[in-house]
Amino acid sequence: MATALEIGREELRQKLESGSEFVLVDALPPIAFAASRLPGAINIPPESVDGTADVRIPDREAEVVVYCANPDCESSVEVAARLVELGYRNVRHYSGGKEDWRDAGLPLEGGRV
Amino acid sequence: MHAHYVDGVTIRPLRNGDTQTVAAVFERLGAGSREKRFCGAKPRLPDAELAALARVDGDRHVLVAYADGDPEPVGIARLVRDGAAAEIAFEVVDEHQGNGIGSVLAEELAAVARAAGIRELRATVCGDNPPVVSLLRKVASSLHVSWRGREREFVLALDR
Repeated sequence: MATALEIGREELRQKLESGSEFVLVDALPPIAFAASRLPGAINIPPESVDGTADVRIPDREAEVVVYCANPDCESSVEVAARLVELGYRNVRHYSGGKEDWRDAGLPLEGGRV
Repeated sequence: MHAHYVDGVTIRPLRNGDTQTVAAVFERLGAGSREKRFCGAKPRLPDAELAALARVDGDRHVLVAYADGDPEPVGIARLVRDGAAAEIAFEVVDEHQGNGIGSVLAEELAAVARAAGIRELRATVCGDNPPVVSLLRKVASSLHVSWRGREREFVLALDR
């Protein structure tokens, strides 16, 4: 399986705050994405990558950061690996995910709950 | 939360609109299983109902189970959000009942529910259905039951 480089919470936070151009991908199921997500994230669960990546992330050179629930969550690993296989050249993985982000007191968007 | 393999059972999320898989499981349910699942006789699934059961979105999540050695789907579990709670329902095809498939589905569904911030699950059980009651008891940290005619409504608190 292709792998993506890791990105830490602090670097991701700085990228979001500075308004850097990158695509933040939440790999959780739509029901979890609707409940809460990192600011600005789009939702691409593993089963949707092949059908939607071309449309949602047309630029293969774009920086993409993928996350899911926590370090035990495999969906973000699968999505990141599949994106690399599809030719995306700058894919990174935030393994801490939503749990690490929330535990650090950082804001989430959403609120279906 | 993509495909998981546990004790001979592969669980994967249903793709939004995959009516074929929903229909395939329904076709393999015997009359008794259909009656328990839908709380009444259910000889066929109307198209509109089939489409609703195959819907996946911000409020609905569906898991499909496959058993080793069987190319067709053998079970489905569904979660429909209602605020911080969600309604859950399960179906396992007759020939695979009693093999723990419901338990695997329930554990996976509870994990999705927790990730979605859901704190409480509700399940309607029609008539006598000891396997489903036993399965619900395994998932919840606490469980409340109320009767509505022949139906029982179970309210399950989810641990975080």
